[in-house]
Amino acid sequence: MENNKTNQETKIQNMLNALADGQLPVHEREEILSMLDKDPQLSSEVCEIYRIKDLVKTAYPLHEFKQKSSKNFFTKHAGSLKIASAFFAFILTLASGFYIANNHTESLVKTQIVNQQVAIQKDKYIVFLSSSQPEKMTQVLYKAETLAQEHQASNGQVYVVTSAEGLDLLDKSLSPFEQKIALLSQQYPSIKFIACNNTMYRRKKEGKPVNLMANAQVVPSAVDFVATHLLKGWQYISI
Amino acid sequence: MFKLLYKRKLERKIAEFRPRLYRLAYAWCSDAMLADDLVQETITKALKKHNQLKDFSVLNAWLFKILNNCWMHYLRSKKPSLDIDNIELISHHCPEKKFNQLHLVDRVRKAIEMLPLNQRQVITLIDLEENSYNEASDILGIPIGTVMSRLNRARSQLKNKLIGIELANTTKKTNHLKRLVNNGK
Repeated sequence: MENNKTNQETKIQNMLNALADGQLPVHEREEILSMLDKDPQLSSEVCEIYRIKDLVKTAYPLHEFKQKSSKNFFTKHAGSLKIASAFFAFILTLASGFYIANNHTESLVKTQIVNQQVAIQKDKYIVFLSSSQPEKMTQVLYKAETLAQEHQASNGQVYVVTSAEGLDLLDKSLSPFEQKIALLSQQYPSIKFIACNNTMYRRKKEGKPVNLMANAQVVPSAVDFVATHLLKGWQYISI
Repeated sequence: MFKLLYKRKLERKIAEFRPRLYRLAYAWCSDAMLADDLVQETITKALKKHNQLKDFSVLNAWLFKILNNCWMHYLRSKKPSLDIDNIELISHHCPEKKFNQLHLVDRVRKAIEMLPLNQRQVITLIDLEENSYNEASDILGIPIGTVMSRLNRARSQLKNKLIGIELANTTKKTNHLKRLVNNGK
Protein backbone atom coordinates (compact mmCIF):
# COMPACT_ATOMS: atom_id res chain seq x y z
CA MET A 1 0.00 0.00 0.00
CA GLU A 2 2.79 2.38 1.13
CA ASN A 3 4.84 1.25 -1.85
CA ASN A 4 2.04 1.99 -4.29
CA LYS A 5 1.66 5.48 -2.87
CA THR A 6 5.38 6.15 -3.26
CA ASN A 7 5.35 4.82 -6.82
CA GLN A 8 2.44 7.05 -7.65
CA GLU A 9 4.19 10.09 -6.14
CA THR A 10 7.37 9.32 -8.07
CA LYS A 11 5.37 8.94 -11.26
CA ILE A 12 3.74 12.34 -10.72
CA GLN A 13 7.08 13.92 -9.87
CA ASN A 14 8.59 12.52 -13.06
CA MET A 15 5.65 13.86 -15.02
CA LEU A 16 6.05 17.31 -13.46
CA ASN A 17 9.73 17.30 -14.37
CA ALA A 18 8.96 16.16 -17.89
CA LEU A 19 6.34 18.87 -18.20
CA ALA A 20 8.83 21.56 -17.20
CA ASP A 21 11.38 20.08 -19.60
CA GLY A 22 8.92 19.90 -22.50
CA GLN A 23 9.35 16.14 -22.69
CA LEU A 24 5.78 14.97 -22.21
CA PRO A 25 3.72 13.47 -25.03
CA VAL A 26 0.50 15.40 -25.75
CA HIS A 27 -1.92 13.06 -23.96
CA GLU A 28 0.16 12.96 -20.77
CA ARG A 29 0.58 16.69 -20.92
CA GLU A 30 -3.16 17.19 -20.96
CA GLU A 31 -3.54 14.75 -18.10
CA ILE A 32 -1.02 16.54 -15.87
CA LEU A 33 -2.34 19.98 -16.78
CA SER A 34 -5.81 19.02 -15.62
CA MET A 35 -4.26 17.72 -12.36
CA LEU A 36 -2.46 21.05 -11.89
CA ASP A 37 -5.70 22.86 -12.38
CA LYS A 38 -7.19 21.05 -9.42
CA ASP A 39 -4.17 20.94 -7.14
CA PRO A 40 -2.40 24.22 -6.19
CA GLN A 41 0.32 22.23 -4.41
CA LEU A 42 1.29 20.53 -7.68
CA SER A 43 1.26 23.90 -9.45
CA SER A 44 3.68 25.31 -6.93
CA GLU A 45 5.91 22.25 -7.38
CA VAL A 46 6.09 22.90 -11.11
CA CYS A 47 6.98 26.53 -10.39
CA GLU A 48 9.79 25.33 -8.15
CA ILE A 49 11.10 23.05 -10.89
CA TYR A 50 11.14 25.98 -13.30
CA ARG A 51 12.94 28.03 -10.67
CA ILE A 52 15.58 25.32 -10.18
CA LYS A 53 16.11 25.10 -13.94
CA ASP A 54 16.53 28.83 -14.02
CA LEU A 55 19.00 28.80 -11.12
CA VAL A 56 21.15 26.12 -12.74
CA LYS A 57 21.39 28.18 -15.91
CA THR A 58 22.11 31.36 -13.98
CA ALA A 59 24.95 29.69 -12.09
CA TYR A 60 26.93 28.93 -15.25
CA PRO A 61 26.56 31.91 -17.60
CA LEU A 62 27.94 30.96 -21.01
CA HIS A 63 29.73 34.28 -21.57
CA GLU A 64 31.96 33.57 -18.57
CA PHE A 65 33.04 30.25 -20.09
CA LYS A 66 33.38 31.75 -23.54
CA GLN A 67 36.02 34.15 -22.25
CA LYS A 68 37.91 31.46 -20.37
CA SER A 69 37.58 28.93 -23.13
CA SER A 70 38.66 31.25 -25.93
CA LYS A 71 41.64 32.33 -23.85
CA ASN A 72 42.63 28.73 -23.34
CA PHE A 73 41.94 27.91 -26.96
CA PHE A 74 44.34 30.52 -28.20
CA THR A 75 47.00 29.62 -25.67
CA LYS A 76 46.75 25.94 -26.38
CA HIS A 77 46.39 26.29 -30.11
CA ALA A 78 48.99 28.96 -30.57
CA GLY A 79 51.13 26.34 -32.30
CA SER A 80 48.47 25.34 -34.78
CA LEU A 81 47.51 28.95 -35.44
CA LYS A 82 51.12 29.82 -36.02
CA ILE A 83 51.52 26.92 -38.40
CA ALA A 84 48.38 27.97 -40.23
CA SER A 85 49.64 31.53 -40.51
CA ALA A 86 53.05 30.20 -41.56
CA PHE A 87 51.38 28.17 -44.24
CA PHE A 88 49.43 31.15 -45.54
CA ALA A 89 52.47 33.39 -45.38
CA PHE A 90 54.42 30.81 -47.31
CA ILE A 91 51.70 30.46 -49.93
CA LEU A 92 51.58 34.26 -50.19
CA THR A 93 55.32 34.38 -50.67
CA LEU A 94 55.08 31.79 -53.41
CA ALA A 95 52.12 33.51 -55.02
CA SER A 96 53.86 36.87 -54.98
CA GLY A 97 56.98 35.14 -56.28
CA PHE A 98 54.92 33.74 -59.11
CA TYR A 99 53.48 37.16 -59.87
CA ILE A 100 56.83 38.89 -59.78
CA ALA A 101 58.44 36.13 -61.79
CA ASN A 102 55.91 36.54 -64.50
CA ASN A 103 56.05 40.29 -64.51
CA HIS A 104 59.61 41.22 -63.68
CA THR A 105 62.60 39.55 -65.22
CA GLU A 106 64.87 40.54 -62.35
CA SER A 107 63.13 38.08 -59.99
CA LEU A 108 65.06 35.20 -61.40
CA VAL A 109 65.34 33.17 -58.21
CA LYS A 110 61.62 33.19 -57.58
CA THR A 111 60.87 32.26 -61.16
CA GLN A 112 63.13 29.27 -60.72
CA ILE A 113 61.36 27.95 -57.66
CA VAL A 114 57.93 28.37 -59.15
CA ASN A 115 59.05 26.52 -62.24
CA GLN A 116 60.49 23.77 -60.02
CA GLN A 117 63.91 24.46 -61.44
CA VAL A 118 65.57 25.58 -58.22
CA ALA A 119 68.57 23.50 -57.37
CA ILE A 120 67.82 21.52 -54.22
CA GLN A 121 70.66 21.74 -51.77
CA LYS A 122 71.06 18.22 -50.51
CA ASP A 123 73.05 19.13 -47.43
CA LYS A 124 71.07 22.13 -46.15
CA TYR A 125 68.12 21.56 -43.87
CA ILE A 126 65.57 23.45 -41.87
CA VAL A 127 64.06 21.49 -39.01
CA PHE A 128 60.99 23.36 -37.86
CA LEU A 129 59.41 23.07 -34.41
CA SER A 130 56.24 24.76 -33.24
CA SER A 131 55.28 22.47 -30.39
CA SER A 132 56.38 22.44 -26.78
CA GLN A 133 55.89 18.70 -26.36
CA PRO A 134 59.14 17.27 -24.92
CA GLU A 135 58.96 14.22 -27.21
CA LYS A 136 58.85 16.51 -30.25
CA MET A 137 61.75 18.52 -28.88
CA THR A 138 63.69 15.27 -28.51
CA GLN A 139 62.85 14.33 -32.10
CA VAL A 140 64.02 17.70 -33.37
CA LEU A 141 67.34 17.47 -31.60
CA TYR A 142 67.85 13.89 -32.72
CA LYS A 143 67.01 14.78 -36.31
CA ALA A 144 69.34 17.80 -36.28
CA GLU A 145 72.18 15.75 -34.86
CA THR A 146 71.69 12.93 -37.37
CA LEU A 147 71.61 15.35 -40.30
CA ALA A 148 74.69 17.19 -39.05
CA GLN A 149 76.54 13.88 -38.74
CA GLU A 150 75.46 12.73 -42.19
CA HIS A 151 76.55 15.92 -43.91
CA GLN A 152 79.60 16.77 -41.85
CA ALA A 153 81.97 15.94 -44.69
CA SER A 154 80.25 18.24 -47.18
CA ASN A 155 80.00 21.18 -44.77
CA GLY A 156 76.24 20.77 -44.53
CA GLN A 157 74.07 23.14 -42.50
CA VAL A 158 71.13 22.48 -40.25
CA TYR A 159 68.89 25.24 -38.88
CA VAL A 160 66.58 24.32 -36.04
CA VAL A 161 63.88 26.96 -36.39
CA THR A 162 61.53 27.45 -33.47
CA SER A 163 58.29 29.35 -33.46
CA ALA A 164 55.12 29.60 -31.34
CA GLU A 165 55.23 26.99 -28.55
CA GLY A 166 58.35 25.49 -30.10
CA LEU A 167 60.26 28.47 -28.77
CA ASP A 168 60.19 26.77 -25.35
CA LEU A 169 63.05 24.63 -26.65
CA LEU A 170 65.35 27.65 -26.57
CA ASP A 171 63.95 29.26 -23.44
CA LYS A 172 66.32 28.68 -20.53
CA SER A 173 63.49 28.83 -18.02
CA LEU A 174 61.35 26.27 -19.83
CA SER A 175 63.58 23.98 -21.87
CA PRO A 176 64.60 20.62 -20.45
CA PHE A 177 67.36 20.45 -23.08
CA GLU A 178 69.64 23.37 -22.30
CA GLN A 179 72.71 21.19 -21.78
CA LYS A 180 72.01 19.07 -24.81
CA ILE A 181 71.69 22.19 -26.98
CA ALA A 182 74.95 23.60 -25.64
CA LEU A 183 76.63 20.27 -26.35
CA LEU A 184 75.24 20.04 -29.88
CA SER A 185 76.31 23.60 -30.66
CA GLN A 186 79.80 22.76 -29.47
CA GLN A 187 80.06 19.43 -31.28
CA TYR A 188 78.40 20.49 -34.53
CA PRO A 189 78.99 24.12 -35.51
CA SER A 190 76.84 23.41 -38.56
CA ILE A 191 73.73 23.27 -36.33
CA LYS A 192 72.19 26.67 -35.64
CA PHE A 193 69.29 27.32 -33.35
CA ILE A 194 66.88 30.00 -34.51
CA ALA A 195 64.26 31.83 -32.45
CA CYS A 196 61.36 33.78 -33.92
CA ASN A 197 61.30 37.41 -32.82
CA ASN A 198 57.57 37.71 -33.49
CA THR A 199 56.89 34.99 -30.95
CA MET A 200 59.32 36.54 -28.48
CA TYR A 201 57.60 39.89 -28.84
CA ARG A 202 54.17 38.33 -28.34
CA ARG A 203 55.33 36.54 -25.19
CA LYS A 204 56.83 39.72 -23.85
CA LYS A 205 53.51 41.46 -24.36
CA GLU A 206 51.78 38.62 -22.50
CA GLY A 207 54.11 39.20 -19.57
CA LYS A 208 56.13 36.02 -20.21
CA PRO A 209 59.44 37.25 -21.65
CA VAL A 210 61.69 34.59 -23.14
CA ASN A 211 64.97 33.88 -21.42
CA LEU A 212 66.83 32.89 -24.55
CA MET A 213 69.84 30.56 -24.53
CA ALA A 214 73.17 32.02 -25.57
CA ASN A 215 73.45 29.56 -28.49
CA ALA A 216 70.27 30.82 -30.12
CA GLN A 217 70.07 33.36 -32.92
CA VAL A 218 67.06 35.61 -33.37
CA VAL A 219 65.41 36.23 -36.73
CA PRO A 220 62.58 38.73 -37.28
CA SER A 221 60.12 36.10 -38.43
CA ALA A 222 60.49 32.31 -38.47
CA VAL A 223 58.04 32.04 -41.33
CA ASP A 224 59.91 34.48 -43.52
CA PHE A 225 63.15 32.77 -42.61
CA VAL A 226 61.80 29.37 -43.67
CA ALA A 227 60.25 30.76 -46.86
CA THR A 228 63.46 32.56 -47.86
CA HIS A 229 65.55 29.45 -47.34
CA LEU A 230 63.09 27.27 -49.21
CA LEU A 231 63.42 29.64 -52.14
CA LYS A 232 67.15 29.04 -51.99
CA GLY A 233 66.66 25.28 -52.23
CA TRP A 234 66.97 24.32 -48.57
CA GLN A 235 65.10 21.22 -47.48
CA TYR A 236 62.36 21.55 -44.94
CA ILE A 237 61.43 19.09 -42.20
CA SER A 238 58.60 19.87 -39.84
CA ILE A 239 58.41 17.90 -36.61
CA MET B 1 38.88 17.38 -51.26
CA PHE B 2 35.42 16.83 -49.77
CA LYS B 3 36.96 15.08 -46.81
CA LEU B 4 39.18 18.08 -46.20
CA LEU B 5 36.25 20.49 -46.39
CA TYR B 6 34.23 18.25 -44.10
CA LYS B 7 37.05 18.20 -41.56
CA ARG B 8 37.44 21.97 -41.75
CA LYS B 9 33.72 22.41 -41.11
CA LEU B 10 33.90 20.02 -38.18
CA GLU B 11 36.87 21.88 -36.71
CA ARG B 12 35.01 25.18 -37.01
CA LYS B 13 31.88 23.77 -35.42
CA ILE B 14 33.86 22.23 -32.58
CA ALA B 15 35.66 25.52 -31.98
CA GLU B 16 32.30 27.28 -31.76
CA PHE B 17 31.01 24.65 -29.40
CA ARG B 18 34.04 24.65 -27.18
CA PRO B 19 32.73 27.10 -24.53
CA ARG B 20 29.69 24.91 -23.97
CA LEU B 21 31.82 21.81 -23.58
CA TYR B 22 34.00 23.68 -21.15
CA ARG B 23 31.02 24.90 -19.15
CA LEU B 24 29.60 21.40 -18.89
CA ALA B 25 32.97 19.91 -17.95
CA TYR B 26 33.37 22.58 -15.31
CA ALA B 27 29.90 21.93 -13.93
CA TRP B 28 30.81 18.25 -13.63
CA CYS B 29 34.24 18.52 -12.08
CA SER B 30 34.30 22.05 -10.53
CA ASP B 31 37.94 22.43 -11.49
CA ALA B 32 38.89 24.89 -14.22
CA MET B 33 42.18 23.19 -15.12
CA LEU B 34 40.70 19.72 -15.20
CA ALA B 35 37.71 20.95 -17.21
CA ASP B 36 40.08 22.46 -19.73
CA ASP B 37 42.06 19.22 -19.99
CA LEU B 38 38.88 17.21 -20.43
CA VAL B 39 37.71 19.51 -23.20
CA GLN B 40 41.10 19.34 -24.85
CA GLU B 41 41.00 15.55 -24.75
CA THR B 42 37.43 15.51 -26.02
CA ILE B 43 38.30 17.68 -28.99
CA THR B 44 41.38 15.63 -29.83
CA LYS B 45 39.31 12.44 -29.75
CA ALA B 46 36.52 14.01 -31.77
CA LEU B 47 38.94 15.11 -34.47
CA LYS B 48 40.51 11.67 -34.56
CA LYS B 49 37.15 9.93 -34.81
CA HIS B 50 35.55 12.45 -37.14
CA ASN B 51 34.56 9.67 -39.54
CA GLN B 52 32.10 8.37 -36.96
CA LEU B 53 29.99 11.51 -37.14
CA LYS B 54 27.58 11.08 -40.02
CA ASP B 55 25.20 13.90 -39.25
CA PHE B 56 26.11 17.40 -38.02
CA SER B 57 22.73 17.78 -36.31
CA VAL B 58 23.86 15.35 -33.60
CA LEU B 59 27.26 16.98 -33.14
CA ASN B 60 26.43 18.37 -29.69
CA ALA B 61 25.26 15.07 -28.29
CA TRP B 62 28.22 13.30 -29.92
CA LEU B 63 30.68 15.70 -28.29
CA PHE B 64 28.96 15.43 -24.91
CA LYS B 65 29.20 11.68 -25.19
CA ILE B 66 32.94 11.84 -25.84
CA LEU B 67 33.30 14.29 -22.96
CA ASN B 68 31.47 11.87 -20.70
CA ASN B 69 33.79 9.04 -21.77
CA CYS B 70 36.84 11.19 -21.05
CA TRP B 71 35.44 12.15 -17.67
CA MET B 72 34.65 8.53 -16.78
CA HIS B 73 38.10 7.48 -17.92
CA TYR B 74 39.63 10.18 -15.74
CA LEU B 75 37.62 9.08 -12.71
CA ARG B 76 38.57 5.44 -13.20
CA SER B 77 42.25 6.20 -13.55
CA LYS B 78 42.38 8.69 -10.70
CA LYS B 79 43.83 7.41 -7.46
CA PRO B 80 41.83 8.36 -4.39
CA SER B 81 43.29 11.57 -3.07
CA LEU B 82 42.36 14.57 -1.00
CA ASP B 83 43.39 17.95 -2.29
CA ILE B 84 44.36 20.22 0.57
CA ASP B 85 42.83 23.15 -1.27
CA ASN B 86 39.46 21.46 -1.09
CA ILE B 87 39.47 21.14 2.67
CA GLU B 88 37.27 23.77 4.18
CA LEU B 89 38.69 25.40 7.28
CA ILE B 90 36.17 25.32 10.08
CA SER B 91 34.86 28.79 10.69
CA HIS B 92 31.17 29.46 10.42
CA HIS B 93 31.25 33.15 11.12
CA CYS B 94 34.08 34.56 9.06
CA PRO B 95 33.20 37.52 6.82
CA GLU B 96 34.35 35.62 3.73
CA LYS B 97 31.91 32.84 4.40
CA LYS B 98 29.04 35.23 5.02
CA PHE B 99 29.91 37.13 1.87
CA ASN B 100 29.86 33.90 -0.14
CA GLN B 101 26.51 32.93 1.32
CA LEU B 102 24.99 36.06 -0.09
CA HIS B 103 26.07 35.16 -3.57
CA LEU B 104 23.44 33.13 -5.25
CA VAL B 105 25.67 31.88 -8.05
CA ASP B 106 28.20 30.53 -5.56
CA ARG B 107 25.46 28.90 -3.57
CA VAL B 108 23.96 27.23 -6.60
CA ARG B 109 27.34 26.02 -7.81
CA LYS B 110 28.15 24.66 -4.38
CA ALA B 111 24.79 22.91 -4.23
CA ILE B 112 25.37 21.34 -7.64
CA GLU B 113 28.90 20.31 -6.64
CA MET B 114 27.46 18.50 -3.64
CA LEU B 115 25.14 16.39 -5.74
CA PRO B 116 26.27 12.84 -6.48
CA LEU B 117 28.15 12.78 -9.77
CA ASN B 118 25.52 10.83 -11.71
CA GLN B 119 22.80 13.30 -10.70
CA ARG B 120 25.05 16.27 -11.43
CA GLN B 121 25.67 15.00 -14.94
CA VAL B 122 22.00 14.51 -15.66
CA ILE B 123 20.83 17.86 -14.33
CA THR B 124 23.54 19.81 -16.16
CA LEU B 125 22.90 18.00 -19.43
CA ILE B 126 19.20 18.77 -19.20
CA ASP B 127 18.98 22.14 -17.48
CA LEU B 128 22.22 23.70 -18.67
CA GLU B 129 22.59 22.21 -22.13
CA GLU B 130 18.89 21.65 -22.76
CA ASN B 131 19.30 18.12 -23.98
CA SER B 132 16.23 15.92 -24.23
CA TYR B 133 15.87 12.88 -21.97
CA ASN B 134 16.61 10.70 -24.97
CA GLU B 135 19.82 12.57 -25.71
CA ALA B 136 20.92 12.49 -22.06
CA SER B 137 20.22 8.77 -21.99
CA ASP B 138 22.32 8.26 -25.11
CA ILE B 139 25.17 10.51 -23.94
CA LEU B 140 25.47 8.83 -20.57
CA GLY B 141 24.59 5.34 -21.76
CA ILE B 142 21.79 4.83 -19.23
CA PRO B 143 18.06 4.06 -19.63
CA ILE B 144 15.60 6.97 -19.86
CA GLY B 145 13.95 5.84 -16.62
CA THR B 146 17.28 6.26 -14.84
CA VAL B 147 17.71 9.71 -16.37
CA MET B 148 14.30 10.71 -15.01
CA SER B 149 14.84 9.33 -11.54
CA ARG B 150 18.29 10.94 -11.24
CA LEU B 151 16.90 14.21 -12.46
CA ASN B 152 14.10 14.06 -9.95
CA ARG B 153 16.47 13.33 -7.07
CA ALA B 154 18.85 16.08 -8.18
CA ARG B 155 16.10 18.67 -8.37
CA SER B 156 14.66 17.64 -5.01
CA GLN B 157 18.04 18.10 -3.37
CA LEU B 158 18.63 21.44 -5.04
CA LYS B 159 15.16 22.55 -4.05
CA ASN B 160 15.85 21.74 -0.40
CA LYS B 161 19.10 23.66 -0.48
CA LEU B 162 18.19 26.60 -2.65
CA ILE B 163 14.56 27.53 -2.56
CA GLY B 164 14.87 28.75 1.05
CA ILE B 165 17.61 31.20 0.11
CA GLU B 166 15.57 32.46 -2.77
CA LEU B 167 12.65 33.17 -0.48
CA ALA B 168 14.91 34.87 2.06
CA ASN B 169 16.28 37.14 -0.64
CA THR B 170 12.79 37.98 -1.85
CA THR B 171 11.62 38.82 1.68
CA LYS B 172 14.59 41.07 2.16
CA LYS B 173 13.80 42.96 -1.02
CA THR B 174 10.16 43.36 -0.07
CA ASN B 175 11.04 44.80 3.35
CA HIS B 176 13.43 47.21 1.74
CA LEU B 177 10.75 48.45 -0.61
CA LYS B 178 8.28 48.84 2.25
CA ARG B 179 10.72 50.99 4.19
CA LEU B 180 11.18 53.28 1.20
CA VAL B 181 7.43 53.63 0.81
CA ASN B 182 7.08 54.44 4.53
CA ASN B 183 9.81 57.05 4.26
CA GLY B 184 7.98 58.54 1.32
CA LYS B 185 4.93 59.01 3.48
